Amino acid sequence: MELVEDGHIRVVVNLEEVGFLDSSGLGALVGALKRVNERGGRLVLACPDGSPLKVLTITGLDKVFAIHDSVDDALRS
Amino acid sequence: MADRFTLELPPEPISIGTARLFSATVARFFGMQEETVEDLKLAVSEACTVAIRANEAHGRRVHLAIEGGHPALTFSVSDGGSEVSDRTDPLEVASGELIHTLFPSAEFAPTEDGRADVRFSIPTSA
Repeated sequence: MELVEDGHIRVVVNLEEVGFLDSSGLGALVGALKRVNERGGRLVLACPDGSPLKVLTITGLDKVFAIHDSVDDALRS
Repeated sequence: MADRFTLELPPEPISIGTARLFSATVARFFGMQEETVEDLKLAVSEACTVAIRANEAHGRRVHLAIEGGHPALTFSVSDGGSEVSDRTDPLEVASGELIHTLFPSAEFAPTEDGRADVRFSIPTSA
Protein backbone atom coordinates (compact mmCIF):
# COMPACT_ATOMS: atom_id res chain seq x y z
CA MET A 1 0.00 0.00 0.00
CA GLU A 2 2.85 2.37 0.83
CA LEU A 3 4.38 1.73 -2.58
CA VAL A 4 1.12 2.69 -4.26
CA GLU A 5 0.78 5.81 -2.13
CA ASP A 6 4.35 6.71 -3.12
CA GLY A 7 3.35 6.65 -6.77
CA HIS A 8 4.36 3.14 -7.81
CA ILE A 9 1.41 2.04 -9.91
CA ARG A 10 2.87 -0.92 -11.78
CA VAL A 11 3.00 -3.58 -9.10
CA VAL A 12 3.79 -7.30 -8.97
CA VAL A 13 2.70 -9.01 -5.73
CA ASN A 14 4.84 -12.07 -5.18
CA LEU A 15 2.84 -14.89 -3.56
CA GLU A 16 5.39 -17.60 -4.42
CA GLU A 17 6.42 -18.02 -0.78
CA VAL A 18 2.95 -17.51 0.69
CA GLY A 19 1.68 -20.74 2.21
CA PHE A 20 -1.65 -19.51 3.46
CA LEU A 21 -4.18 -16.95 2.25
CA ASP A 22 -7.59 -16.26 3.77
CA SER A 23 -10.25 -13.59 3.28
CA SER A 24 -8.22 -11.06 5.28
CA GLY A 25 -5.36 -11.46 2.83
CA LEU A 26 -7.77 -11.34 -0.10
CA GLY A 27 -9.19 -8.13 1.29
CA ALA A 28 -5.73 -6.56 1.35
CA LEU A 29 -5.07 -7.65 -2.25
CA VAL A 30 -8.41 -6.33 -3.49
CA GLY A 31 -7.80 -3.04 -1.68
CA ALA A 32 -4.40 -2.70 -3.32
CA LEU A 33 -5.84 -3.55 -6.74
CA LYS A 34 -8.53 -0.92 -6.32
CA ARG A 35 -6.00 1.77 -5.39
CA VAL A 36 -3.73 0.89 -8.29
CA ASN A 37 -6.63 0.89 -10.74
CA GLU A 38 -7.81 4.26 -9.45
CA ARG A 39 -4.39 5.65 -10.33
CA GLY A 40 -4.42 4.13 -13.79
CA GLY A 41 -1.83 1.51 -12.93
CA ARG A 42 -1.65 -2.27 -13.05
CA LEU A 43 -1.29 -4.85 -10.30
CA VAL A 44 -0.56 -8.48 -11.13
CA LEU A 45 0.03 -11.52 -8.96
CA ALA A 46 2.85 -14.04 -9.14
CA CYS A 47 1.13 -17.12 -7.76
CA PRO A 48 2.11 -20.69 -8.66
CA ASP A 49 -0.14 -23.69 -7.99
CA GLY A 50 -0.89 -24.11 -4.30
CA SER A 51 -3.17 -23.10 -1.50
CA PRO A 52 -3.30 -19.33 -2.28
CA LEU A 53 -4.22 -20.01 -5.92
CA LYS A 54 -6.94 -22.39 -4.79
CA VAL A 55 -8.44 -19.67 -2.58
CA LEU A 56 -8.31 -17.16 -5.44
CA THR A 57 -10.09 -19.68 -7.66
CA ILE A 58 -12.77 -20.63 -5.11
CA THR A 59 -13.64 -17.00 -4.54
CA GLY A 60 -13.66 -16.17 -8.27
CA LEU A 61 -10.90 -13.62 -7.80
CA ASP A 62 -8.77 -15.49 -10.32
CA LYS A 63 -10.93 -13.66 -12.88
CA VAL A 64 -10.34 -10.29 -11.24
CA PHE A 65 -6.56 -10.47 -10.90
CA ALA A 66 -4.01 -11.07 -13.61
CA ILE A 67 -2.20 -14.13 -12.27
CA HIS A 68 1.13 -15.52 -13.45
CA ASP A 69 3.11 -18.59 -12.42
CA SER A 70 6.21 -16.66 -11.43
CA VAL A 71 7.57 -13.19 -10.82
CA ASP A 72 9.53 -13.42 -14.09
CA ASP A 73 6.35 -14.15 -16.04
CA ALA A 74 4.53 -11.35 -14.23
CA LEU A 75 7.28 -8.86 -15.03
CA ARG A 76 7.19 -9.86 -18.70
CA SER A 77 3.41 -9.40 -18.90
CA MET B 1 -16.18 -42.65 23.43
CA ALA B 2 -15.46 -39.75 21.08
CA ASP B 3 -12.49 -37.54 21.78
CA ARG B 4 -13.02 -33.86 22.48
CA PHE B 5 -10.44 -31.11 22.14
CA THR B 6 -11.20 -27.52 23.02
CA LEU B 7 -9.41 -24.21 22.74
CA GLU B 8 -10.46 -20.93 24.31
CA LEU B 9 -9.13 -18.01 22.29
CA PRO B 10 -8.57 -14.42 23.42
CA PRO B 11 -10.39 -12.15 20.95
CA GLU B 12 -7.20 -10.96 19.27
CA PRO B 13 -6.15 -11.48 15.61
CA ILE B 14 -3.03 -13.37 16.70
CA SER B 15 -5.32 -16.13 18.04
CA ILE B 16 -6.35 -17.07 14.50
CA GLY B 17 -2.98 -18.63 13.75
CA THR B 18 -3.16 -20.59 17.00
CA ALA B 19 -6.60 -21.93 16.05
CA ARG B 20 -5.30 -22.97 12.62
CA LEU B 21 -2.30 -24.77 14.10
CA PHE B 22 -4.40 -26.50 16.75
CA SER B 23 -6.97 -27.70 14.22
CA ALA B 24 -4.35 -28.93 11.76
CA THR B 25 -2.50 -30.81 14.50
CA VAL B 26 -5.63 -32.66 15.65
CA ALA B 27 -6.66 -33.40 12.05
CA ARG B 28 -3.22 -34.83 11.19
CA PHE B 29 -3.25 -36.89 14.39
CA PHE B 30 -6.39 -38.60 13.08
CA GLY B 31 -4.83 -39.17 9.66
CA MET B 32 -6.65 -36.52 7.67
CA GLN B 33 -5.25 -36.06 4.18
CA GLU B 34 -3.02 -33.05 3.74
CA GLU B 35 -5.15 -31.47 1.03
CA THR B 36 -8.16 -31.59 3.37
CA VAL B 37 -6.06 -30.19 6.21
CA GLU B 38 -5.34 -27.13 4.04
CA ASP B 39 -9.07 -26.64 3.45
CA LEU B 40 -9.71 -27.11 7.15
CA LYS B 41 -7.14 -24.46 8.07
CA LEU B 42 -8.85 -22.00 5.74
CA ALA B 43 -12.33 -22.75 7.12
CA VAL B 44 -11.18 -22.48 10.74
CA SER B 45 -9.36 -19.25 9.92
CA GLU B 46 -12.49 -17.75 8.35
CA ALA B 47 -14.76 -18.83 11.22
CA CYS B 48 -12.37 -17.52 13.87
CA THR B 49 -11.78 -14.26 11.99
CA VAL B 50 -15.51 -13.54 11.99
CA ALA B 51 -15.91 -14.56 15.64
CA ILE B 52 -12.92 -12.56 16.83
CA ARG B 53 -13.98 -9.49 14.87
CA ALA B 54 -17.40 -9.73 16.50
CA ASN B 55 -15.99 -10.03 20.00
CA GLU B 56 -12.78 -8.01 19.95
CA ALA B 57 -14.37 -4.84 21.29
CA HIS B 58 -16.14 -6.68 24.11
CA GLY B 59 -13.21 -8.84 25.17
CA ARG B 60 -15.28 -12.01 24.90
CA ARG B 61 -13.40 -15.22 24.23
CA VAL B 62 -14.00 -17.45 21.22
CA HIS B 63 -14.37 -21.20 21.68
CA LEU B 64 -13.09 -23.78 19.23
CA ALA B 65 -14.10 -27.39 19.82
CA ILE B 66 -13.11 -30.50 17.90
CA GLU B 67 -15.03 -33.70 18.57
CA GLY B 68 -15.02 -37.21 17.19
CA GLY B 69 -12.14 -39.15 15.68
CA HIS B 70 -12.93 -41.93 13.23
CA PRO B 71 -14.81 -41.79 10.92
CA ALA B 72 -15.11 -37.98 11.21
CA LEU B 73 -14.10 -34.91 13.17
CA THR B 74 -16.58 -32.14 13.89
CA PHE B 75 -15.22 -28.63 14.24
CA SER B 76 -17.25 -25.90 15.87
CA VAL B 77 -16.48 -22.26 16.53
CA SER B 78 -18.71 -20.57 19.07
CA ASP B 79 -18.21 -16.87 19.24
CA GLY B 80 -19.72 -16.20 22.62
CA GLY B 81 -21.78 -13.17 21.91
CA SER B 82 -22.76 -11.86 18.50
CA GLU B 83 -26.25 -12.32 17.14
CA VAL B 84 -26.76 -14.29 13.94
CA SER B 85 -29.30 -11.69 12.79
CA ASP B 86 -26.60 -8.98 12.89
CA ARG B 87 -24.48 -10.74 10.28
CA THR B 88 -24.79 -8.50 7.29
CA ASP B 89 -21.17 -7.40 7.07
CA PRO B 90 -20.01 -8.31 3.53
CA LEU B 91 -16.76 -9.71 4.89
CA GLU B 92 -18.66 -12.02 7.24
CA VAL B 93 -20.93 -13.13 4.43
CA ALA B 94 -17.90 -13.79 2.22
CA SER B 95 -16.27 -15.84 4.97
CA GLY B 96 -19.44 -17.86 5.36
CA GLU B 97 -19.63 -18.49 1.62
CA LEU B 98 -16.02 -19.61 1.58
CA ILE B 99 -16.56 -22.06 4.43
CA HIS B 100 -19.67 -23.39 2.73
CA THR B 101 -17.81 -23.87 -0.55
CA LEU B 102 -15.07 -25.83 1.19
CA PHE B 103 -17.46 -27.85 3.33
CA PRO B 104 -21.01 -27.83 1.93
CA SER B 105 -22.36 -29.51 5.06
CA ALA B 106 -21.26 -26.55 7.21
CA GLU B 107 -24.00 -25.20 9.44
CA PHE B 108 -24.35 -21.66 10.72
CA ALA B 109 -26.71 -21.93 13.61
CA PRO B 110 -27.95 -19.74 16.40
CA THR B 111 -27.61 -21.31 19.82
CA GLU B 112 -30.34 -21.24 22.47
CA ASP B 113 -28.86 -18.16 24.07
CA GLY B 114 -28.62 -16.24 20.79
CA ARG B 115 -24.97 -16.84 20.05
CA ALA B 116 -23.71 -17.98 16.67
CA ASP B 117 -22.03 -21.29 16.02
CA VAL B 118 -20.26 -22.47 12.90
CA ARG B 119 -20.04 -26.24 12.69
CA PHE B 120 -18.74 -28.64 10.06
CA SER B 121 -17.67 -32.26 9.93
CA ILE B 122 -14.82 -33.74 7.94
CA PRO B 123 -14.13 -37.44 7.34
CA THR B 124 -10.85 -38.80 8.64
CA SER B 125 -9.07 -41.75 7.10
CA ALA B 126 -9.78 -45.05 8.84
